[in-house]
Amino acid sequence: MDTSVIFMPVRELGELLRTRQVSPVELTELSLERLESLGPRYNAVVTITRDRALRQARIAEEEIGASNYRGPLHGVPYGVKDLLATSEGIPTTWGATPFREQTFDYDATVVRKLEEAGAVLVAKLAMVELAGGMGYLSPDNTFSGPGITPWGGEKSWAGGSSSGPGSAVSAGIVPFAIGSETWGSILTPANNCGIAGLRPTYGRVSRYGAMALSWTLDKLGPLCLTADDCGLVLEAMAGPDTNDPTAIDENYRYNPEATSRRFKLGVLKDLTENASDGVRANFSQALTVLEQVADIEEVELPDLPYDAVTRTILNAEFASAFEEFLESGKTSELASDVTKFGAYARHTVLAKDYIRALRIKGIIGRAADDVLARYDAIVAPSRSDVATPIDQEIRTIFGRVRDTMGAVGNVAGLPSISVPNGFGERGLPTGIQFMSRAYGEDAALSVARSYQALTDWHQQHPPGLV
Amino acid sequence: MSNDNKEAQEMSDEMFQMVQRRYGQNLTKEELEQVQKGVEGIVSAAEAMKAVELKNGDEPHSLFVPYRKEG
Repeated sequence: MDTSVIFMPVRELGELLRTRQVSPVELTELSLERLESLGPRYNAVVTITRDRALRQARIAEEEIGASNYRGPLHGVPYGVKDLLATSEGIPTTWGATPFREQTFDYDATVVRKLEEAGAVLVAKLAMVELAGGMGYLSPDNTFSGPGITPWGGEKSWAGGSSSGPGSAVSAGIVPFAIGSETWGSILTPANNCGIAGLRPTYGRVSRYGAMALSWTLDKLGPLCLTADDCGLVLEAMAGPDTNDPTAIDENYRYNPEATSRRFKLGVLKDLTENASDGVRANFSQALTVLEQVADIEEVELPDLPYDAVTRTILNAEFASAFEEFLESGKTSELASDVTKFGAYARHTVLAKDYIRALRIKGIIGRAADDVLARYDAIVAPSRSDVATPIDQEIRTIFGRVRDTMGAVGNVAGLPSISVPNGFGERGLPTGIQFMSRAYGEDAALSVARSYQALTDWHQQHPPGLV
Repeated sequence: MSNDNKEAQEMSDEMFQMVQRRYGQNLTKEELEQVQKGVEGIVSAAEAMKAVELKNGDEPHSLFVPYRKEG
């Protein structure tokens, strides 16, 4: 097959599929071949869903041939983080040895919706065990091996916990993938792998069939090559679901039209003071680029304990979600030494403190909206540093600064998209994120698209993969 | 050590002892030290949240939908 389709955005692929210049079956076979040849290099894959993929691809081929075109994802291969339930005996491992044989007799709502959109599920992709809910210090934290970014001369971490979705998209193995974020798990792999990753508003996408880490923080979202693709995929994923009472009662219609007015962007004060030199330089350069299309001003959030609130909620909900597992003693089977005992401390979160965190959460939501309502987006580095070498502890780098954007965005359930904005230390990608007010995905996507129209970072791909 | 810090440390020690009683037999000395740090972090987060003044009407921001089966 013509290899020019590798690293082609979903929007362009979809047009080639619609006009029958590309066959869904041949495109799926190419993806399956790359899953086998490249997947192990990055520890990106848990299960290749070959039979299901080829069946879905043949159906897509027949439907498109009969002019029954479903939309831009019809016939496009994709992978999902291995915490989304899949039927047909396909394991859903949650990235953890004690769950390697786990199967479900239903598909997660997101998987079902993407099937209805005509997309082709080719793989269950690697992840940090239990989505990092037990805590972890090093990239080697799952039975499938440390997730590795396709970028850089030495092996560096793909980011977590959606490591496989990040590296598989970055390596041109799949055109898009689905990840999840409780606190950083979409934006971090997007940053480390040099791709786009969208964390939708909490409730925008049904969580039914996804492993629960923290019921009030978990979100599902796409990882793609471009911001525009993230909008296309989000439209297919989003919408009401009677199986998830937190799913909002409206569909999402992506608006890809460019705006003619200048954007208004906010930048949090002192945000980069502890960032690496490469991150700081690339962020500064990105702001200069954005000044072509946006008015940018410094902004401050009220002084609230964002990290403490988010962490307290996460700790308490995880301790409940995995209480039986923690009591079972099976934590000894986990891959990372830290995760084997990391969660025991969480039994000590007091009910009154959890409730207090939920009360402050309301205050944070209102405070954040007061600020965000004045802007199309708040802009910030996606991470304060480039990817960690796989033989180093993550906390030595992540612990250098508080993640205010991540804490506010996740506890208040706000959408944010990360796109690449250059290369920093060791030739590794850096990212810039655009966070908007709740249900403001179109605003964040619009700014990100404009930034990508002015730069070519998203058109650069790891060498030697075509 | 201020009274607040002393109180937080005592709280942390008592909570750690609870974890140790319940799960200590499964954990090595080094692992227990890490668990103790984890407990200290949880108590520290709770202390940080006390800085926010809450009014009686500040409700928990969580969804509750009364259940009624369809039909």
